[in-house]
Amino acid sequence: MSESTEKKMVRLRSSDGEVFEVEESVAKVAKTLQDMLEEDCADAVIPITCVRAPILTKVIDYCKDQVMISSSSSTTNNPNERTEQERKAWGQKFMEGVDSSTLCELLVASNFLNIEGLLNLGVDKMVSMIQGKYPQEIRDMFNVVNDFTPEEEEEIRNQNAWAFERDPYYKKRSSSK
Amino acid sequence: MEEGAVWKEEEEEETAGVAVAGVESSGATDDLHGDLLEAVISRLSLFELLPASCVSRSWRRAVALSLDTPSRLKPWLIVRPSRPPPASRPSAAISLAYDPGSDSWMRLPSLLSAVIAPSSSSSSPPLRCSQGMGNLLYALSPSRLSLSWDPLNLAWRHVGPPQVWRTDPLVALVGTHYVVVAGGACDFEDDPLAVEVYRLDDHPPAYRRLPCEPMPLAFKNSASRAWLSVAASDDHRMFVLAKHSGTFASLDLDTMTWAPLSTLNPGPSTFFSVIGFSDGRLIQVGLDGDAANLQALRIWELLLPLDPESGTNSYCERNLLGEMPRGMLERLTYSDEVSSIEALVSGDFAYIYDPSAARDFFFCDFSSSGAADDGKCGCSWGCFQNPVLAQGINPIDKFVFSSSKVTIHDLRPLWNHEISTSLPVPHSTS
Repeated sequence: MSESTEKKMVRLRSSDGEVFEVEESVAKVAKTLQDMLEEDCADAVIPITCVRAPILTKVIDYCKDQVMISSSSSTTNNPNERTEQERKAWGQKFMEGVDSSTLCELLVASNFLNIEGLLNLGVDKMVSMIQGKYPQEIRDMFNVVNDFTPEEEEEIRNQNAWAFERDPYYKKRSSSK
Repeated sequence: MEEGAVWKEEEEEETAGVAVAGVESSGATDDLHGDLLEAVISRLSLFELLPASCVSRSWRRAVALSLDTPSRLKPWLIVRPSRPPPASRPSAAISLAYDPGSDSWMRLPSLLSAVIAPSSSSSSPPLRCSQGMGNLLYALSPSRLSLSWDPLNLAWRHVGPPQVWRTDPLVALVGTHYVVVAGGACDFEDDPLAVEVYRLDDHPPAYRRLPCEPMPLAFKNSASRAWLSVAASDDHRMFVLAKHSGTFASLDLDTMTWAPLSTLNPGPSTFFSVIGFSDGRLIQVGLDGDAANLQALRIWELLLPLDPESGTNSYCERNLLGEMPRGMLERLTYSDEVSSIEALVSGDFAYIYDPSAARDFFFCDFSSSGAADDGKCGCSWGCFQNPVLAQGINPIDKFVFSSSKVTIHDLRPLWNHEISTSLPVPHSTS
C-alpha cells in the first residue's frame, strides 16, 4: 500500500500463449485473480489456462470498465453512477454481436475467473438466445449433441408433439430418413 | 411437488449417458454443463423449460434439477382483458403472465375469448376474479354464471344464473364442488343477504341448487364485493371479512349455517384488510394508519381455534408473516392515497395491489416465514410495474388480475398457440 501512487501491473497469459499486461485493480475484478494476488504471486505471469486470447481480451475490457465505474463513483457524491437502466443498456451493448460459441467461452471464462457481473451478463444473453427456440435450434446454436437413445427420443416426441410438429428441422430430418 | 417426481424419474440414467458422452471434442460448447448450464436453465421461464428439456440428457437433467428448486414454482400473476376485444382489434386481446420463479414475463394467447365470447361481444359480461381465491375467474350474465379455476383457466363450467339478480356478488369456490354466490343484489326488493349455493357434479357435468342460511345481519349494508372479502378453506368453509370494520363470519357448507360473528382487527390502527386462503392457511393482509398516511402493510396467518366447537372467537390467534419494507410502502403510496388494496393469495405467496390505480404490483413470498433467517420474518418481497400500463393501455377496469399455480405440464397446450416470450417490461425486484 505504501507505493500506491505507482500503478502496479499484473501479467496474464492466455491458453494460446498471449501475454496481457493490466493494472492490478483491473485483474482484481476477477475474484480468482484477487485471491491469487493477495496470496502474492508477485512478478510472475499468471497463466489463465482455459481462456483463449480473444476471450481474455473481452474479459479484460469488462474488468477495465468495472474499475472505471467504481473509481468515478468514489469521487462524486452519487454512488450509483449508472442507473439500473443504463447498466442494462451497457450490458446489452457489451454483449452485442457475441456469437454463441464465443458466448460459451465467455461463460466458462467468467465462471473460472469468478467474475459475477460478467457471468450474469453471459447468462442473460444466453437466455435471450434460447427464448422461443425449438430443441433442434438450441442444439445447433450451442453445438449440443443429442444423446437421447432412439427410444427416449420417440417418447419425448410423443409427449411433446408440439415441439416437433412445428419444428422446421423436424421435417427436414424425417424426410431425409 | 408431483411435478418434481415426474421429472426426477427421468434422471436416473445418468450413468448410461457417460457412454455416449465421448463427444466432448465437438466444440467449446460442451463445456457448458454443471453449474453453468444450471445457471442458464434457472433463468429460463417455465415455458422455455419444455423445449430445453428435449435438447439432450444433460439439459433434461438441469431442467429436472431446476424444477426441484422450491423457488422455481411460484404462483404466476396473470393479467387478462376482462372482455373479449372487438373483432376489429384482435391484438388488444393480450394476456400477460409474470413468473416470479424466473423473474420473467410472457405473453399468453387470448385463451378466454373462445370460451366467454358470445355472439355479440359488446354485451358480454366482464370477466372477474374472486380475489381471495387466487385464480377463480367468473363471468355473470342474465342467462348463466360461467366459472373457471384450472391453472390457466382453459376449462369453464356453466351454471344457471342466480335466482336473485346480482351485480357485484361475492363468488366463491369451496372445495371443488360447491359454488357460493352471496350478496351483491341490486334490486331494492331483493334480500341483500341471500346466499345461493350450487353443488357441482362431474360425471356427467351437472349442478344442483342447495338452500342456505342468509349472511349475518351485520353485513346488511355492505353485502357486496366492494365491501367484503371472501376466502374458502379446503374443508368446506367459506370466510367473509368486512374490509373496513374487520367483522368476520364463516359459513359451513356441510350444515349450510353461519358461525357466530367475530372481529378480525390485527391492531388498533388497522383500517382496512382482506383475506385469502393458501395451502391450508387463512391469510389476512391489513393496512395500518389511514388512507392519507399509510403506516404499515402486514400479512398475518390466522390460526384455527383449538376447539372448533367453541365457535365464538374463532381465528383470534395470529402469526405475523411479513411486513412490507419501507421503500415499497413508499412506492405504494407514491402519488395517491391508498384507501384499499387487493390481495391475490395462493401457494404461500401473495400479490398485492391498489385496485384504484393498479400501477404497481407487490409480492410477498411467505413460504419460509417462521424460519426467520434474514430480515424480520423470513419472507421475501418484490415489486414490478403493471405491464399493461407500461404498454400505454390505460383503463384499469378493462383488465382482470389473477394468481395461479402453474406447472410445466399445464403449458404444453400453449405451444399450439403463438406465444411471444421476449416481452420487454420494466420492473424491479428487491
